Amino acid sequence: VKCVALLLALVTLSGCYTTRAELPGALRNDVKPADIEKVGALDVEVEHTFYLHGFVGTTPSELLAAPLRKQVQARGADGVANVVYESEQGCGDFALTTCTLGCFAPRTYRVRGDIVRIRAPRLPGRTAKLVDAERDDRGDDGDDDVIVAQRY
Amino acid sequence: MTRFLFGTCALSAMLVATSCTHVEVALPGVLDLRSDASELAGDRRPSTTPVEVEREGMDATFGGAGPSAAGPGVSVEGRVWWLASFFRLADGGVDEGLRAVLGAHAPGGNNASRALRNVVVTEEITGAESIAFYCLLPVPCAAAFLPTRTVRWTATRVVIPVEPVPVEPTAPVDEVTP
Repeated sequence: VKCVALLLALVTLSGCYTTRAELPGALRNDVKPADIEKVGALDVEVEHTFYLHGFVGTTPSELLAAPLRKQVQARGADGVANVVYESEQGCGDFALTTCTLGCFAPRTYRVRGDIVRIRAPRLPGRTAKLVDAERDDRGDDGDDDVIVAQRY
Repeated sequence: MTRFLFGTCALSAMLVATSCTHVEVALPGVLDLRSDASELAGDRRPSTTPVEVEREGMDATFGGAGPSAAGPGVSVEGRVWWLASFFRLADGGVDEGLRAVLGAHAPGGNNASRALRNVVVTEEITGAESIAFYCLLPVPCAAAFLPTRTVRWTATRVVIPVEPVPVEPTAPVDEVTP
């Protein structure tokens, strides 16, 4: 009985399918539309799989921050405007989760927006644009389609 | 028979095209990656959250706690309900709450020139909801509304100084040098 009570207490106090993702930089309300120049579209899509009804497989904190930084930096931009965060389970993922009784539960996270150059003054603090060098060395950045050509 | 097949195909197409437990949040303001605003002081001014986005009592229980502030730390919580995980029934949205804590509601007023740093999004099915779902499984009508998903945005609110540091020129990271 004590074990069941302890288990129930643990389950009640802890959450499952927990996602915890940081966003890089700072969200500002003082940047006017005239202070930004759109240079492209941001589309970050990340899939994460939870196991055992979501008790195993907590998301890494850099789940969205790393690819977001990478896309902004690849454009030589400063930030993102009109940010929209989405998370969902596709129909196939839902079927998989149901069939496995929650033992295997993929979920997709997406961040969309406009990649912009910002003309407003920079806030004091550390830059948030650095890309993890180790990941770049591993070559799993997926940015092979970004080609810069220069003619002499 | 044809009608049945047509209905089945239409229902299947709808289910395939629809995503389950979809959560969408539009963030106000501009995400500036040039700085994490770590050297700015926390904003301890009293929040001027509009009454319409505050939640109390049953509203908070079913729709999430909404916007709240403890010193410079701010939090916006919403809870989303679906029917059988497909059809969104109620959305304790956080969009308005985020606008309120960032200060986009009253530009030029008490809320002017603010920023949020250390922005973190947390999504979870709470343990209590999981237990309620499994306990209510024998009652199909009740279990169809569970589990809900709680979305929480937390951040530290800072005051933007009147004269921030000058703009630094930025260059593309993939720049090729001859």
